[in-house]
Amino acid sequence: MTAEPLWISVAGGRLFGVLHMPDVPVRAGIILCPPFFHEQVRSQRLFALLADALRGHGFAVLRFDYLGTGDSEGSDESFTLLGAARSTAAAVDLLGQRAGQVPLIGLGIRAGAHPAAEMFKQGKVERLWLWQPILRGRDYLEQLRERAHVERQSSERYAHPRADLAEDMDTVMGFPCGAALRDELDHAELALDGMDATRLTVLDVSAPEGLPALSTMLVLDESLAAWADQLDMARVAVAPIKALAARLAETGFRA
Amino acid sequence: MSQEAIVQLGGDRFGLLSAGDARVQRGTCLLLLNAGFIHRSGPFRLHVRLARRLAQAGIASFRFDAPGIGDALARSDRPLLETMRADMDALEQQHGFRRFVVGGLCSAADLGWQLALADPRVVGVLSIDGLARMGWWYRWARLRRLLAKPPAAWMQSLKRHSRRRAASSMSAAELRDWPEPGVERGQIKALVERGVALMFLFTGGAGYFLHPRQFGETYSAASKAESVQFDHWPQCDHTFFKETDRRKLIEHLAQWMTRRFAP
Repeated sequence: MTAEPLWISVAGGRLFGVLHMPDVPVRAGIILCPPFFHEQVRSQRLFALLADALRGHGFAVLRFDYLGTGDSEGSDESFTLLGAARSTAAAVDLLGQRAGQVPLIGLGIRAGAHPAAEMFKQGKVERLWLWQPILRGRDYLEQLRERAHVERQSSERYAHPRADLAEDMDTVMGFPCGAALRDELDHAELALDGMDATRLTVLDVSAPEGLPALSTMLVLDESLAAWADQLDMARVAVAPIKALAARLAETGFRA
Repeated sequence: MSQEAIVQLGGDRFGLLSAGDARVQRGTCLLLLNAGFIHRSGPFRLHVRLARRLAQAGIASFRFDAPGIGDALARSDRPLLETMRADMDALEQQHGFRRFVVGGLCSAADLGWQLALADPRVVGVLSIDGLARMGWWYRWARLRRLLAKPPAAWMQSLKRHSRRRAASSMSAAELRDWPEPGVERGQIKALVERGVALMFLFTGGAGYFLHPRQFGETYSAASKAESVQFDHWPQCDHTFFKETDRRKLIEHLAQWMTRRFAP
């Protein structure tokens, strides 16, 4: 079996995870910090396939759901940024135990860049890969609110007029987002220029603001970047994912 | 709440069994099938929340991915119905379940319907935005909706309709895995005679279902059987975007499951 489903203990419940272990000696471990809200659902298949492709290059990859998200325990309302960092720390510990004495990499996707960067800051992972990172939580929240507004007003979504489609502060793109999480996101800022550039890789359509000169930049093409702006689910193309895994193995990580 | 358990299905496939404790093992298990390409946790985590609500009532459920969806990385040439029946075998062998309720949203409703017809272990079908035909009542509802708008909006509606037709010539029946028109009447009759409980819910997001009388028009006399429940929620969208709609749906499904299948 190439992917092992498992539970990870953390204060407040169990996290669900899937560990992709290579058939060859492990060269490094990757903790995959998923994006938040609807983006977690939308990208699940893409990153399951990427994990499998990276496994083929000798990486042990652990995917997991934060407490209160996906298949992990906890209510939707219990999901917070602090909780996401705690979940990630528990997942990193398990990956370290299973992968052995190898370097660990934090792969943070979109808002998942924040818990991944926290692990980097704490020295729990040695390298940081950021995929289309959300640098400012406040801007992100604003974008999601605008998007949710469009969804609520869409005659495609709601063919019948209804009175209760006004702004709902307690949800973001259909997911509960209470005051604590809103406050955390409002204050969440990721400064790339303060990081050790030699250990930083960014994957995006273009270089984000403040990207240090010595960091590695991998440009994502449309097939791998567009999911973040789409709502409709569709089959994910495998070939670009395999090509990206090869590039990451070659340029994003040099043992 | 009993803890959820990972169940291996063979190959790289697995699923999560909720309420798999001894108290419910000889009871009925709800199989939550993939809604389109959305992985097993469901749209907006709907399947997870439903599973945990049902577990409180002592009802087991199993969420998992069909080959090529979510965590089931490998696609398969094996017919999907065969795969699903083999998964039911695995749940029977490993956890003793011999009765299943199957279905879910959209394509999950279609697959659940076929599974019920193919396997006598299926005792219930959950069909959300499943099969319905666009007959006279659909046309009447469309006309009524158009006439309710001011005349200035009629032309806009007609243009929009024409644009949609030009962009997509496929009807709902062609896009979905539905039988030839009329076949469903014999199918529902057979399921009702077998004692299968059927729960149909149509949302406002099902563009092919505009009038509640379409249900009887589609399924004929068997639609009025005691074992058939039908609801029309025109104010809801297809994936239950609003938290209040999701809560309402989870409670609705939990009550139906409890009434029909609680141990």
